[in-house]
Amino acid sequence: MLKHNLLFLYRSALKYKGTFAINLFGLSIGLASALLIFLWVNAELTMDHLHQSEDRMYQVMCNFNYSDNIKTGKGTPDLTARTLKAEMPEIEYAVETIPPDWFKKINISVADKNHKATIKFAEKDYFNVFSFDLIEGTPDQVLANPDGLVITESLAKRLFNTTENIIGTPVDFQIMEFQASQKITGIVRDLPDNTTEQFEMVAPFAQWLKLSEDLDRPVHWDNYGPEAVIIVKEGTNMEHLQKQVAGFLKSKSTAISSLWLQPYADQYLHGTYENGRSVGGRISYVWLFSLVALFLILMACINFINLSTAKATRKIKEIGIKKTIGANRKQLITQYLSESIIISTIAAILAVVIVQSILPYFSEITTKTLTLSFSPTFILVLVGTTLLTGFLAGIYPALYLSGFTPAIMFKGMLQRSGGEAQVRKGLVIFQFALSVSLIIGVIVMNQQIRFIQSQKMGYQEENIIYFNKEGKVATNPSVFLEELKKQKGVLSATMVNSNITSPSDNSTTSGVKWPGKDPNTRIEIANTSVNYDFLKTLEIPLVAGRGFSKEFGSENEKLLLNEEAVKVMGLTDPIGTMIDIWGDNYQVIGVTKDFHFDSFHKKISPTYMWIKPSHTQEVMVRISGDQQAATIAGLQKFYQSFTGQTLEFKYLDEQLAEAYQSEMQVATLSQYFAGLAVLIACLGLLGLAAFTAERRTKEIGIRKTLGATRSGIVFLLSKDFTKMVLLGIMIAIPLSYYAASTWLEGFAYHTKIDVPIFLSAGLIALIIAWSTIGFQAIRAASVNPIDSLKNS
Amino acid sequence: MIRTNKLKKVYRTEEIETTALNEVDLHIQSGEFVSIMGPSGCGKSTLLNILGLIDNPSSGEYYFLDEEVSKYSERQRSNLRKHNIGFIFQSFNLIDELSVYENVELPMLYTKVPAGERKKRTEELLEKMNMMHRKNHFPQQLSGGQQQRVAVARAIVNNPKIILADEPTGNLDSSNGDDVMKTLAQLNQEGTTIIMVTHSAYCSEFGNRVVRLLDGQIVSENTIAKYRI
Repeated sequence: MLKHNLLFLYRSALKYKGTFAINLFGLSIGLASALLIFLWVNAELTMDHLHQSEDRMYQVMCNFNYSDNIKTGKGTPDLTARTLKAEMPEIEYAVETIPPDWFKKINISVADKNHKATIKFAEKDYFNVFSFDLIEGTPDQVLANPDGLVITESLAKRLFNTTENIIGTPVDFQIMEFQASQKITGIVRDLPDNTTEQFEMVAPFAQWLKLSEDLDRPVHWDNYGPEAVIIVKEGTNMEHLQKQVAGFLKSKSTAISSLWLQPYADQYLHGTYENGRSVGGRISYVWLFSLVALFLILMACINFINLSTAKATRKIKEIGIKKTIGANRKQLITQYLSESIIISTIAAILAVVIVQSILPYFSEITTKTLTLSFSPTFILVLVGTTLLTGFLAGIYPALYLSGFTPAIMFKGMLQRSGGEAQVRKGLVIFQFALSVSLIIGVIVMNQQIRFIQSQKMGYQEENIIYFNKEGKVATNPSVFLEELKKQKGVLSATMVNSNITSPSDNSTTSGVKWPGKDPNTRIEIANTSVNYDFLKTLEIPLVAGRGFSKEFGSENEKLLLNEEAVKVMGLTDPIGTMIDIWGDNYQVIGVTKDFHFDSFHKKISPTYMWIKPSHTQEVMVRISGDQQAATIAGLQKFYQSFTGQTLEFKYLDEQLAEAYQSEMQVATLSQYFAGLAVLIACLGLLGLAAFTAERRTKEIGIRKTLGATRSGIVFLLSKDFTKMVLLGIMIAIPLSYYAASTWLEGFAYHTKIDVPIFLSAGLIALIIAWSTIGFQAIRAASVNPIDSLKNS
Repeated sequence: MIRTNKLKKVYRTEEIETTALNEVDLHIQSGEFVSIMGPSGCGKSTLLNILGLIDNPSSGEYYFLDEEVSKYSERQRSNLRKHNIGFIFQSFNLIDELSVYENVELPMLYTKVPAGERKKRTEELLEKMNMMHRKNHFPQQLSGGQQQRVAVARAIVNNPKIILADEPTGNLDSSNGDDVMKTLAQLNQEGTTIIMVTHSAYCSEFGNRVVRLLDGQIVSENTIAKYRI
C-alpha cells in the first residue's frame, strides 16, 4: 500500500505541478526557518551548561537597595568568595574573579617579544569550579601560587608555536602602570562556544589585589566589583543557605546591600533584574523566535490545508472510485496523511540543504558559531518537526477528503457544506494577521534603532578614535598626550577610564555626601576618571563653571557634576559646593550638560567626573574630519615611534552602534523571518487565487458575455481576498501594539508607536497581496468569454 | 441474493424534496442477469447505487446476502462491497494517475491480497481482456473500448458475487459495446450475478430479466426467455 501511495503522490505531483511546488516550497521555507531558529535557540539554551557541577554552581548576586530602586549586579567586595567559604560549611568551592573586559587586551611580553591578550584574575579553585579542560596542570595546582599563569591552547600556539614544554616559561604583563612577572603553570584547551567565560590567560587573584593596591583602589567591604562563583556541597539545603548568604554583608558593609545566589547557568538567559530578582532577559528572545518558528511552520501547513481542501473537486473521482472498490475511510486517511508526511519529508531534506547553505550568513547575523551536526538531538528535532508538520498539514484535508461518500462521484458534484470554505478563510486571515504583526514588529524595531541613532548623545561622537592606554603610553601618559596633540589633524586628546559607551566600565558608588543630604537617602552616583581636556575632546558643553585645566594648578580635589547629579543632590548653586566621597572632600568646579554614558536602555545617571590620570585606561583623540586617512597614517607612525608598537584603534561612533548589537540582531532576524512569513502567506494566496479563478471560470464567462469589464472582473475576484487581508490587519494591530509596547519598555528612551506604522504595515501587506492576486485575476479576466464558457 | 422492501430514496435541498425511489420491492436471485431500464431521471442509477452499497436508502429494507444492510455504517458497507461487488461505469472511472496494470490491481490492495497473488491475477485478467500489451499505459492513452475492458477487469479481479454495471456501453461504439456485453454475459454464465442499468433494449437482451422503472417505481418486470450470448 505504501508503494501505491508513493506512486500516487508522484503522479499527482507531476499532474498538478503548481500546487505541489507551492506546498513543497512553502513547507521547505517553513522548516528551514524553524531549523535555523532551532539551531540558534539550542545554542542559547545550552549556553553555560557545560560544567560538571552545574546543578550546584551559583553566581553570587548583589542587590543594592537605593532610595528609589533596587539595583542587582554581579559585583561583590573582593573578599566575598573566600569569606563565604570560610563562614559557610555548605560551600565546597568559592572563587572571586575579575572579568577580562575590565582591561580589554593587555600587553604581555615573552622573551622580549610583545603580544596582546585578554586576562582574567581568579582565585585558586577557578578550575575546580569551571570544568574547562586543562591540557597541562591540575585544577588544584595551576593557580595555587601568586606567580602562576594559565594560558589557552591557542595563545600558547601564538606565543610559542606549541603547547609542549612551556610550563615554567616566564610571561610578563602590564596593566596601566602595573607590571607583573608570571610563570606558566597550566594550559587550558580553547574555551568551547557554549560558555560566557572568555579569556586567554588566567592569573591568580593575588595579582589583582596587588594591582588594586597599585591603583589606590581600596579593598574593603564597601567596594564592589569582582564577581564570585561558588559550588555548594551535595545535599545542601539551598533555602537555608540563601538566608545565610542574604545576611552575610550585614555585619561587614555599610551599604544596604544583600547577596543572593542565582544558578550559574541561569544568568545567561535570565539576566534582567527588577526589584532584586530575575525577571527574564534573553529568554524572551528565545521564546519570541521559537514562536516565530512555530508560526512559520503553521503558515506553511495552512497553505497545504487550504490548497488541499480548495482543490477537493480534483480528488472526488479518485475518492469515489477508491471507496466504491473497497477503500475504507481509515485507508484513505492513511493515504492522505502519508502524502503530506512524504511531502514534508522531502521539504525537510530541502530545508536541510537550505540551512546548510545559509548557515554561515545566519551565524554572522547571530554572532554565534552555529553548525549543522547530525547529533541525536538534532535528528530527533528534525524527524519530530517533519512528522508534526506533515501531520498538521495533512490531518484536516485527510479527514475532510476521506469523509466524502462514494455517491458524490456519481452525482457529479461536491456537496460543499460551506464550513470548509469558512475554515479556509479563517486560516488565510490568521496567516495575514501573523504576517502583518511581524511587519509591524520589524517597522517598530527599525524605527527604534533609527531613533536611537538619531539621538544626540550629549557629546560629538564623530571623528573620535580611541585606543588602550598601554606600554609606554601608560608609563609616560603626560608626555604622550603632549606629543599626540602636536600631530597633524589632531584637534584634542584626553584619557578616560573607559570609552564611555560601555555601561560596565563606569563604576558607581553610594558613598557620596553633600550639604543638605538626607542621611537616610541612598543614591547611586556614577563616577568616571578623566584626564585634562576631557570636555574639549568629547565636546561636552558646560552649563555652569569650568572644566579641568592645568591653569588652575592641581585639580585633584575638584569635581565636575552632570546636570542629573545636581538635580538628584538638590544643589541650587553647585559651583564651589564641597562633596564628600569616602571621607575625602572635593570641590565642584563645573556642571556639564547631561550626556549618555550608557546605551539608551538606561536613563542618564547622576555622575561625577574627577581627575584621576592613573585610573584612566583609554586614550581618546578628536581628529579633524578632513583628510582623515592622512591623519590616521601620521598617528600610526607617531605611535610606532613612541611605543614601538602598532596602533590598534577604534572609532567611537562605530563602537556606539555595537551597544545595540542585540537589538540590531533581533531586528535583522525579524526582517528576514517577517519576509519569509509574508512569502509563505503569499504563496498560499497565489494558490487560492488560482483556484478561485479556475472555479469561477464559467461565472466570469457569463459576466463578460453580459458586459462586465475586465477591471470589474479583477475587482470581483480580488474583493474577497482583500476582505480577508483587511481582517488579518485588524487582528494584527492590537496584538502587535501590545507586543511592540512591551518591547519598547526595555528602553529608557524610545520611539512612539504611531498610526503611520500600522498604516504602512497594512499597506505593505495589501500591496503584496494584491500583486499576488492581481496576476491571477487579470489573467482570468482577460480570457475570451467564449473560451471560458467552452472550457467550463 | 438481493431483496428490497419498500425502498425509498428522497433527496432534499432547502426548498425542494425529490423522491428518486418510491417503495421499490425487488428480488434478485443468485446467478441472474437483470437489466434495469427506464427514462432518464427515473431512479435507475439511484437504485443501482443503493444496491451497490455506495448510497443509503432514506427508508425501507435492503437485504444483501440475507443480511439487512440499509442501516449499515460506511465501514460495514465498504467491507461488504470490497469482497462481494464489482462496479462498471458508463464513463469507465479509471484513476487517471494509475496505469492499466495498477488500476486493475487496486481493489486487491484494499482486500489485502498478497503481492504475488495480485500480480498473477492482474496479469491473467489483462491477458483475458487482451490488454496485456497496454498494461503500462494510462487511461487517457486508451480508446473507450480499451478503457472499459480495463474497468471490467478491475470489477472482477476480486471475484465478486455480483457485478453492477451502470450503462456499461453508453460511451462505446457498437462493436466495443458488443464485446463488453459478451464479456458480461460470459461472466454471468460462469455464475456471477449481474445487475445492469441500460437504455439499450439490445443490451437488455443479454440478460434474463428486465425491470422497468418510472418516477422511482417499478412499473414492470419481464423475463426474457431466450437471451443473447
